[in-house]
Amino acid sequence: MTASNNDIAGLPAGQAADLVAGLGWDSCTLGPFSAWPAALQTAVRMMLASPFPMFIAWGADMPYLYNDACIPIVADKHPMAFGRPFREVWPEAWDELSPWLHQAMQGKASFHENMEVVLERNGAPASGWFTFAYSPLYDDAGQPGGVLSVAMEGTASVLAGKWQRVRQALDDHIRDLADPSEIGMAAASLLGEHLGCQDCFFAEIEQCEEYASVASSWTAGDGERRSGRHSIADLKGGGGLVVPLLKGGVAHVLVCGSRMSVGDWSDDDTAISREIGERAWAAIGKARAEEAVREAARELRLLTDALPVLIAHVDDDRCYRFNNRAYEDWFGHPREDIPGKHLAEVLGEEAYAELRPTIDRALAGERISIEQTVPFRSGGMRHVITEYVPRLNAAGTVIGYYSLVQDISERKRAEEHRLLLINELNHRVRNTLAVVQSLASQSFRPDMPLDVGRKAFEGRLRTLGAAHNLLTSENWDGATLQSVAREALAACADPARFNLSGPEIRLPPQTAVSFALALHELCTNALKYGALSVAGGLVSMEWSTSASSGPDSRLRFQWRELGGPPVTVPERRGFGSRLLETGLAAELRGQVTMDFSPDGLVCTIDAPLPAGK
Amino acid sequence: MIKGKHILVVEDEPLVAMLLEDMLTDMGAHVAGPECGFEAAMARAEADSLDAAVLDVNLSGQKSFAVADILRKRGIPYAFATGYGRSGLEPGHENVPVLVKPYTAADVEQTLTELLG
Repeated sequence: MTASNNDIAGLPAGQAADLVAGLGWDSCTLGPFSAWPAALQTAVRMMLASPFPMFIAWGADMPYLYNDACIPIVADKHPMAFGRPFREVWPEAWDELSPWLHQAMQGKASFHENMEVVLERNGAPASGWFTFAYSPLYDDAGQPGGVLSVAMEGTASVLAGKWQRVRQALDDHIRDLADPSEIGMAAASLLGEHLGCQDCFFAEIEQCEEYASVASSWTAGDGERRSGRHSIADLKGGGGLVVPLLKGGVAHVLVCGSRMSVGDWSDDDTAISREIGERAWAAIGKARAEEAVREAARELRLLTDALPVLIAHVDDDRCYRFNNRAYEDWFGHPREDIPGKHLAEVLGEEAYAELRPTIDRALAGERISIEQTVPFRSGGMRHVITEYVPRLNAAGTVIGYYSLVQDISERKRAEEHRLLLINELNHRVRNTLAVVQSLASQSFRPDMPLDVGRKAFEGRLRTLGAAHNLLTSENWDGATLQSVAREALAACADPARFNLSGPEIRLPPQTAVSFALALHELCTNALKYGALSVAGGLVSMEWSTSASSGPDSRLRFQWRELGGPPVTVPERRGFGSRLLETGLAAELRGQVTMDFSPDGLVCTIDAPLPAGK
Repeated sequence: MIKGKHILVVEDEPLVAMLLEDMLTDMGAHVAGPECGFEAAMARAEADSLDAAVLDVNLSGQKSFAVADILRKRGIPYAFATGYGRSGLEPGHENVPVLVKPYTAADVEQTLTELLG
């Protein structure tokens, strides 16, 4: 105990004791200490010596006397409050406390646990929680003359408890929420109800730092919710609570609230707003990040599913982590069957054993591009090109690989087909050259003048060319007998002198060429010696098929010359006869007969119906 | 050497067959055929009395290698005549002489001389 700087014997040192010593008639209805009843002096001495918060109110006006331990409760009203009537010191609490004070003045004590009393301290009304007892003090005559209050303020722990409940409620609300706006709403409504707000909302500050956009808004009852952008200056000047949340020292969100009655906001209001706001925004940030991850995964799936490449991500335990639709389709597994499965389960033990050396290399960190022929599940083999891309973590350790498989079977087939076509083209050209060589050999005979041979060769070459043209126009599928005949005849005689009749019959390509060349020979012979060598001569070509269709069906064709000069059997068998009777007959596997009857040449073909397409 | 020899001609293109027939006739050979179908060629390869043969590889889409197998069994030498060249030959026939179309009478004479020699 330090030495007292007052001169009243027996008063302990301290601020309150000094205030007691300084009291006089001008400042207190009790007058100076020396004028006080002995009982009051004793009680005050005892109170000043106590380290427990106490006050004494004595007499009709109940002047307010307290000890040093009580100063934190009196707060900014100290020291002006000392010695002044209780009612003047605490007008805001008078209605609530005066009944208990009066009761004690009449000799009856009372005890109050955690009573909430609204006090105006530090410039704003705020709830305080007190556990206290009011006891009567007796005067020198043994009658109740005053009140002794022994009080303990529990505001801090009560508030801490209330905060804890709000925090807990927030955590409970948002634990299962994944939607950022639902988290915001839960926090705004909890905070709004806790603060007794009319409305409460979060606004995100835009980059320009002049405007903020309302993210989540709550209102008591069914009032209109806040929305849209607001100038930050307007929000701050609106009389409501505006608490900025900082990130990296810069405000990024404003927690805003407003009450019906315009009033001050306590430090506690600000603190709990910041606390709830920060908790909510931590959860919102996490939810947004998770949503971004889900969105990225959705995008990845959309993209990879659209690709005609088999994509899989396999981890270093050789289990699937990801695969796209093409991968499922290839293996015929539903999506849910692949992730988490071991390679051997999806590929099959045999295929896995075969691929294992390559997979080992990929998991050793090697990037591999490999072309393989692999069996396909529905049979047959497929050509594939596989890229193995090792997946590394930030430390550079291999933690799996991506495999990208491209089915190039179609391309391979097309390549093979192209080679086949080139080969086939080469073959056909060489064959055609041999045919031309034969035509030349048949045309330029040693016993024939050169110009006659050349004319014959040109006519035959032109017919060969026309037949090829016809076949090319039909994509080398073959040609009809009708069109082959027309082409061959048009090249050397007036079509009006021919009468063609017969059903549509398709000839295979090589037969069509032979037929065209044979008809050409008949035509040139008719022009030189037969019906077409005189005016009025005609040629009739008629053909039919036997009634029965199928492999036994036969083609009957007849060339008949009419109105020509009398026919004599030629002395020598020419190229035309040979081509018809031997060549065409062998090709058709039938009989060809040349009847040199005096009325006109008749050439008859009887053969199995050619199998044209 | 070729004169008087019996040569089988298998060729599905009548004009080419006619050409080869003329070439061989001019050399004094006796031509068996020409045959343009597979079955007729098989029949001749099995039954005819032959000294050598010239076989077109492709007979309207059917290969003549079975005909060649019969000739080999009988010890009758043969050559292939083809527009595909040597690449079109099946395994087992790689060492058979090939007349690549179009060929000249001199090509035919040289090839047959080798076969008959």
